[in-house]
Amino acid sequence: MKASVKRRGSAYRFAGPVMALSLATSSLLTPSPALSAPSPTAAARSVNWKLFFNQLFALEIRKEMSGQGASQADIEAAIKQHTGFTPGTFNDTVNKVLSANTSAEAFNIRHKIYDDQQNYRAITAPNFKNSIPATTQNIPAIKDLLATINQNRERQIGPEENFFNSPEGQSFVRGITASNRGQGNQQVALVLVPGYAAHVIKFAIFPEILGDANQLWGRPINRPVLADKGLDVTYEAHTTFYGRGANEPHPFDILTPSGWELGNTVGFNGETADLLANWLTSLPPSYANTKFIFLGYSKGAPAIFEMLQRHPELKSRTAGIITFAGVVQGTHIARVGRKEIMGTLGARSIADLITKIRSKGGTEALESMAPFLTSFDLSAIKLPKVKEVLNSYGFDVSDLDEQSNRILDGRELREVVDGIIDLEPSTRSLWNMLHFDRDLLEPGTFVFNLSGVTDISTFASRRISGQPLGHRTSLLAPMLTGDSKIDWPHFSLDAWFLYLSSQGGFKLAPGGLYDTQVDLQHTKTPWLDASPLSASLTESELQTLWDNAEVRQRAMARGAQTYDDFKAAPRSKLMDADAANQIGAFDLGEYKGHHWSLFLQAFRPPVTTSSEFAVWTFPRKAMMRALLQTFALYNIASQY
Amino acid sequence: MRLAASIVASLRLPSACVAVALCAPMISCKKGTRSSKLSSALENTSDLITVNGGVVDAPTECRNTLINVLSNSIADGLLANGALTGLGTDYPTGKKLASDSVYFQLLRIASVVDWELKQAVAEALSQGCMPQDISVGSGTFDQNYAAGLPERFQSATAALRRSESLLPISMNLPTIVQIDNMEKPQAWPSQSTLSPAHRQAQISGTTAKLHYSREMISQNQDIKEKLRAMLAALTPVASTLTATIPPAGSGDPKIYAEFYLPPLSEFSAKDINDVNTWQLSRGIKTMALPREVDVNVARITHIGYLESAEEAREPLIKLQLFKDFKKPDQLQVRIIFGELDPNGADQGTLPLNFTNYKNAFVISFYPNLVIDPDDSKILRNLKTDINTVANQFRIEARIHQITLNLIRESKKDPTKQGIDSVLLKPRFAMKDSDLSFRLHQVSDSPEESATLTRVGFICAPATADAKQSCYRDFGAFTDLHNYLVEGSGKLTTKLARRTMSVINLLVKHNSRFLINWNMEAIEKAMDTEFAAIVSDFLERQDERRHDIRSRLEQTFYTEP
Repeated sequence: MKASVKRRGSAYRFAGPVMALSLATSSLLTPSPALSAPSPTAAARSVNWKLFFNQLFALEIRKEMSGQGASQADIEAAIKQHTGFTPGTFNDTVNKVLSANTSAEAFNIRHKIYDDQQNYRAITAPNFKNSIPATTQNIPAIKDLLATINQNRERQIGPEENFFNSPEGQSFVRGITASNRGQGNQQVALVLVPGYAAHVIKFAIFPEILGDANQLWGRPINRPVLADKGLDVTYEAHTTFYGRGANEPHPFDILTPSGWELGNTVGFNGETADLLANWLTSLPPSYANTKFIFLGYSKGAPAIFEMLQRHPELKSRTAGIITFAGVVQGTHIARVGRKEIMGTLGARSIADLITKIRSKGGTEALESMAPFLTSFDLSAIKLPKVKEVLNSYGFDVSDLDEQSNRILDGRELREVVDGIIDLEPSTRSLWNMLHFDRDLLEPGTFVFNLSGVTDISTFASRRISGQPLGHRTSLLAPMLTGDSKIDWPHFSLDAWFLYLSSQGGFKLAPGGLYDTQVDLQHTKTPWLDASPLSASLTESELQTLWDNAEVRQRAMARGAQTYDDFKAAPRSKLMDADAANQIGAFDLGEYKGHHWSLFLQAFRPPVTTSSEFAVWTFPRKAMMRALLQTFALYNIASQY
Repeated sequence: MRLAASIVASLRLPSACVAVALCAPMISCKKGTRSSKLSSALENTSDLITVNGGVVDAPTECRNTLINVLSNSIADGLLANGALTGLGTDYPTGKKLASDSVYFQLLRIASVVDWELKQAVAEALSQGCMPQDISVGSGTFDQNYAAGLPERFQSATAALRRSESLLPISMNLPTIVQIDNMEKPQAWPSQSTLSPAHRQAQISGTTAKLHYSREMISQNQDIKEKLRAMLAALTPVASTLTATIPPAGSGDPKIYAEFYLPPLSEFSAKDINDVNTWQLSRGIKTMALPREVDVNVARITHIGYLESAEEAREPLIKLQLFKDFKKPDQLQVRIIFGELDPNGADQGTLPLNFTNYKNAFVISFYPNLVIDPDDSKILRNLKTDINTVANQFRIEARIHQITLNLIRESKKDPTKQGIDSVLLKPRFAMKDSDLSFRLHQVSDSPEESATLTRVGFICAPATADAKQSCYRDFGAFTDLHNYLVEGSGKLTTKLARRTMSVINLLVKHNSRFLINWNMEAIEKAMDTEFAAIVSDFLERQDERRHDIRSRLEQTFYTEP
């Protein structure tokens, strides 16, 4: 059956069976306890979630590439290029890589782990018998979900297909909205919560699937921009945007805050957490009973946890969380960044320094702030006299002075240390020690973790990266066309930024397992992390943590009677590992990619220079289709 | 964020810049600042990028292909190396992994670029065109000469110059001019094919620049300029890239590159937080290696360079690379330790005198026979006896020029066998190198000193006791051999007889070391141990460069 999106009036609607689904669900919008069953059921616990998700991811890549006419060899290459399934835990991976003595050995061990042919065979198996036991597969609703997946294994997905109109999309919606063992129904929304500096990035994460959802519900593909003042973009209000077609029930939707809706995203998590809570509760009334699945990207992940701690009333509306390259346990580079800044500041505060240099005027003053931004997302603004240079390359720089003043006067610069502190392992460990327990979420809520691992040589040409589908030329090398213009589709500004800004981070990450912004180890919840806190914290940080009365009390209650116990105990035990059995905490493993794989491209040339830009060749939509179907399976399994 | 993107773009954009960065002097001192009051040395110089007619007159499309090939190869080299190094090396709370040495990283980058270039050039030639005769150079020239050269690619130069002020480190971006001739790509050009006027102008400009740099490093009136000069002292002063790329099927491309580097230097500071106390001294005081290196027949213990660097001289190191695509798995390298001298023996773009032992790179070693576990008891005892005596003789090998052939096992494919499968491995070619030696002796008495003095030794009091430290220089290894073995009649003292005894033992048991000019054993050992000898030093140089750059940036950003 060929899915289609049919235009009716000014809005898009489901066609055919999807319409039937809409009508069927419209009368069942009462809140349902289905997703908050007492605890992960036996069925939910029986599934090997990491294997299942990776099987789906591989399958969706295959279907997507088949639709593009790719050969079997290319499909196999693409699956190997982007998936990183391992049967062991991430602790196993980190430990194996740390068995190396040299950096080059670590690189080779990592490749052996993630490129293992056996792992490839496991995720491309033509069935789910290794990931879902037969008894679980026999649950009728699960049987239906898997049947649809299996029946469509050979289906080719065209580039224009809207997932929600596809057979698998409709099956997913049935699965995710089912409650009370099929007796009830519920409305669910996936909320994409972006990360560090999100308020100044104008491009959404996972834009393809987000566009599908927007199109499905009659909204513009992207949130309309009402005013664009460089770093400050005013978007159409989320109440207006998501109010479109609100008289119709939306069984499943994908939502995301934009611009300043999450506040200063380089500052404290607390502000973002409060604003996110407010954003959710101020959605149009049609979402009043919607359950949320949160996708916490990067700094968005701890912000979600803080939101649930600060606004416990939202726990009952939380069906699950997936952290995507989340800074759940901090990142070592933040510690270094803060020290650098504090070292430069000396006794001064940032505000003092800004006031002092303000007299220099816009761009020159901005130059003086460079050390504060070096390791972080706004570091590129460090350079002075940008106007002349940009001018020389034909860029429109008319508003540059205004931009410089905006940066100096803005909150980002003044609060940059706050944000960095929040990203430090010591801060996150303290927060996690105090709050990562069974009270953080309602029983049965799932918490999945998905992380990236980067091999920076994949930015090189395929002759070096070894990826048959890799780039023809290095993404770092600006190729000139015959008429001496930059070949923008093959020159990635993101690649430059990530290459330059991640070198310190790769050095600091355990075994160099890093996604260009966050250490692999710190992207997983502490419930899943069997390593001791001493693997993340310095001796003085550990001592400070132990000296915190509440932390000590909690640690002692969990068996760490002495400081030495505290240092050596698996952190999962210190942070109520049993909660993982009550809350569905599972690791979905790693993908091969980087921290920005979920963008088309975060840094783009101005449209006045080129409307084309390099697009990260990452199967974002295939990954999201796999994730959504994984959520659906969890929802059903958690009811049996 | 778009603003940021634009800035990143503008910084990294200019492909021409990427291409010339291969050979451009990246850091230089800035004229026209207040520090120019301190010296007028730079007033009459111009920094130039020179290109030949083969580049200027080539169709734009072909020229762009050349730029693309070069910039892509370099980017691939950097990325390949970046992927394998610096992983978990600074893990603050757990096991730190060892990183590859700077030496090894440079080797890896060169290997990847070398491997990649061959593929990329072949692909470019099969699909389009490239300029056939290419010459791109950079350096500092006499201003009068520079003014007479036709400027080319003005728009690119203008764009680059406008971006100069943007960079925290002064680039002193050069003008692009056309010259009419080019160095011939071969190993090795013995006589420059550039015009005498061109060479004279470059000698003059380079000398002025080196003088100015030294002057700035030693002053504390202008800290920014001091830091700039320190950084400049760690970057090439001139470079040339020449290539012939015949059309597909009509011959093998050849590429020759040379870099003139300022002398290796040592950094010191009484107070690291006080730039006024920072000093950069030319040369390396003889330093002990982190571990002694056994190269089969000798025990290398120390290295040193320019210990007696008078201010009047301008030492330079010349690095030459030659690639003949006929031999795709070989890259030839030669390093010359010399000084700028119009009458020097090496008449390259910049003439160098490399015969002065004061400019040589010094490796101190003791003759030493490695005792193998398989050696018989008798042999083991004999070797031990020899080593006991031989350890009294310290010999300094003074490297004036050294040739390395970097060889790769053929038919390697990094996409299947990993990046390091294309690694080039150094093979020392001693017969193409030029070394001299200094034999050290300690004499116990005035009589012995007198005897040694008669046969050419120079003796000086060694310590507070009566002992004297004596040495004699030998122009080449054969001289040393002739002196010690064949000229034995001159050695009549007890000390001399002892020397002879040792030499004869060494000769008997390892004739390859001192008798023949066949250095297979030492070459082989050096192939594997070279990294150990130079890594630590290169590491320190790199750290220093980093320190200075960081401090310079910090000074730029935060000083009022």
